[in-house]
Amino acid sequence: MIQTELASWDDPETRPLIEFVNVTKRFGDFTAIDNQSLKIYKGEFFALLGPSGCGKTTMMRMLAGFEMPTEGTIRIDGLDVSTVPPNKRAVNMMFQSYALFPHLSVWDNIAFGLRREGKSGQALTARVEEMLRLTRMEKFARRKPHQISGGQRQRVALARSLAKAPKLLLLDEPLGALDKKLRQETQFELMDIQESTGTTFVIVTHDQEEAMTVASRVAVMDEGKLVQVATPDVIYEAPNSIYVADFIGDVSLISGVAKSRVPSDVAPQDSAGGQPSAQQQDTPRQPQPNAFGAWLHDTVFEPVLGARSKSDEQAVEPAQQEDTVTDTVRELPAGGIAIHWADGQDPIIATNADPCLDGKTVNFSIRPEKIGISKARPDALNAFQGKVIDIAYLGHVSTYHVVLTNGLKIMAQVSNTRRISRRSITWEDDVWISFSSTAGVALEH
Amino acid sequence: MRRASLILVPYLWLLALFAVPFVIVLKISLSDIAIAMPPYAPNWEPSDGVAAFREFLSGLDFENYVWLSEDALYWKSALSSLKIAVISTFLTLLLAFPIAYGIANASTDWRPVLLMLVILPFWTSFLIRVYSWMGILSNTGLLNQFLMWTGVINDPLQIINTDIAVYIGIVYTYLPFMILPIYAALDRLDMSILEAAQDLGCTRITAFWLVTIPLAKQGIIAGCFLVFIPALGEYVIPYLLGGSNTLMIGKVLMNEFSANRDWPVASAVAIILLLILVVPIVLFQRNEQRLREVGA
Ligand SMILES: Nc1ncnc2c1ncn2[C@@H]1O[C@H](COP(=O)(O)OP(=O)(O)OP(=O)(O)O)[C@@H](O)[C@H]1O
Ligand SMILES: [Mg+2]
Repeated sequence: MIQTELASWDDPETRPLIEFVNVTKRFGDFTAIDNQSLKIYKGEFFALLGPSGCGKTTMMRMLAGFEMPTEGTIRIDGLDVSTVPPNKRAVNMMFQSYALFPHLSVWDNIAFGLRREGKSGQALTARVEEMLRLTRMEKFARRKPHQISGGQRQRVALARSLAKAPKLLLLDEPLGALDKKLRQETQFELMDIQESTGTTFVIVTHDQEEAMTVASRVAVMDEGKLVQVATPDVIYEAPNSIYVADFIGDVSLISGVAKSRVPSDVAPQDSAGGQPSAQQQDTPRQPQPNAFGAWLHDTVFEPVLGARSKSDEQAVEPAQQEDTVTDTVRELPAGGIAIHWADGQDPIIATNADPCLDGKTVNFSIRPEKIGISKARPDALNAFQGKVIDIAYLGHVSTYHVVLTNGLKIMAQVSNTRRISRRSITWEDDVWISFSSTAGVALEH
Repeated sequence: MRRASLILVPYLWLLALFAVPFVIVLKISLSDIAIAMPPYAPNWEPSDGVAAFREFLSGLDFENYVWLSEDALYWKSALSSLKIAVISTFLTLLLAFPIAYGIANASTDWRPVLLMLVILPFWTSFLIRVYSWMGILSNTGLLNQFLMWTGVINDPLQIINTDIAVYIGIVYTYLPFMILPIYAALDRLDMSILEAAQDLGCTRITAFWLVTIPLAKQGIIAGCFLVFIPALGEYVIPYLLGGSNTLMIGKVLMNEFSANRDWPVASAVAIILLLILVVPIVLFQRNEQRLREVGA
């Protein structure tokens, strides 16, 4: 989801559709939402992501009007909604349990909200039929909820909440009960509906893949707090805490002491405040050695390590080439930090990290797919020796669990472009893992 | 073979306890009154032989039913029974619904206690409870004493031996049969359905009429039948609490049977009562059937 113009959440001029201002919600002496502020903009597909009991449903229920904040204000379209009852809000909620009316047919379920608005006759019929078409439920209009399948019930619930064309649609784990394939289909359906109707969606899920797929922005929650609110790629590539890194996808964590690196005349590749941009991850780059690097290469390394082009053959998986072996030793990219993580081991070089971390203990967090694995020492800046202890075959990818010499476990993921029998790395092999100097992030907490 | 004999057990049970007595009552209703032991004729024993059986059959007739249709007493008592059953069912519903609603919305700690209180009267004999109402409602009873003590009235109210006392007795006796099915229906009702109704534009009151009531409908219908069916044939309550002019078919039946010792007419009344009751019982079964289908 690459935004070409300035995204609404980055534009200080845009007025938010929803605004939580220092909202706290307590149940007795239990604090479910702890003094949180949040802005959601018109047309967004906003995902609330977090473990069970972190307060996602509570946030939604406050928006729908079923719970009142204990402290703070919620504004919808600039208006404080604290005194507005649920039936007076331009908000519709699709309940996790669907909450269909069992005594009404599919048709009447969808018409329910429209009738309360006073719609009738031709206008009512037209709108209901439109919703039935949208959710492909025309054939089942006359059935009662107990006469249709779980997935169909979910569509009816969706149609019912969409029918009134609310400004804001709240979806509380709408796809939780569906199998993977139907869930993916419906995710795309939801995105289509969102695009064609322009409704603002807030979706609750504890499935991180779902959040990454559908959302324009994701809020990761933990125990009543919004830990990070950002676009999916930033959440994934530049999590702001170990919690977020760990919650979204697989990650290996290496803790060590940071030392700021002497800045050189060579600018670090990533100058954008230490966050790898999505673009950088997407476009393959050929390493361009600077003058010093070229000289070093020609005079010192070439006789010892062989010509540069040969390095390509050293990594086992060609798919990993671009990402893992971008900065070779010759380049010596400057800036960032070196993380001393084990005695007698080379430090990890993270050129995208903030040099201000100097002297602090940090956790270096890196995704398995950013790590290459090879039998021979790769020509990479960050290369460490280890032994394969486990291989998880997942079909399209395999995850190698490598234990480093100091006992630390690292996951390296490699896409299976070759058949299993032809793969050269197996259990108990001594291997090298390597990654580029911008592949991971250094996190303080 | 074993399965067949298993199925046979309930059928034998029904045959012995329902079909056989029904045939006997039907037979008596077709007989004539006799001053004998038993007090009707004709009678037939298997030892009498087949020829005697034919003679016995020719002795049976519908005379008693003709008699019932000619005497206005029986029509009036049947209609009055219907009226009392309908009104008391309605009154029971009015009282039971708020109670069931209150229990269904009580906190989970309180619910078992409240349900227990609803069933508690069953721990005492029905007769004793009706006798207690005599003690409460009589002219010198607790109610009148209390009202006179507070000064609301100067002379005791005549409640006992009127239809009002019968209504009170029936409503009191059958209240649990109305509360329990309504409570069961309301308890099944998912709170999020009511929230969904509000989310779609209902106020609390419209949500009650459009969602709560329709979803409690099956329970309400079941409760009404459970009260209406026994109330229609009720004998003890009108006998003990009602007056001499409270006409109910059960009372008439008992009168024919014990006071007049007219077993054939009493049996004919019983058959008529049964025929009247078949309609609501079948409707009740239909409702239960639908309930099971929806619940599945
Ligand atoms: N009515 C309530 N009374 C007391 N505590 C409540 C109430 N509603 C929610 N909570 C508590 O608030 C916390 C947040 O609940 P919430 O339903 O928002 O979680 P959630 O993030 O939606 O979890 P899940 O993913 O399991 O649905 C939980 O610890 C829950 O126990
Ligand atoms: Mg929830």
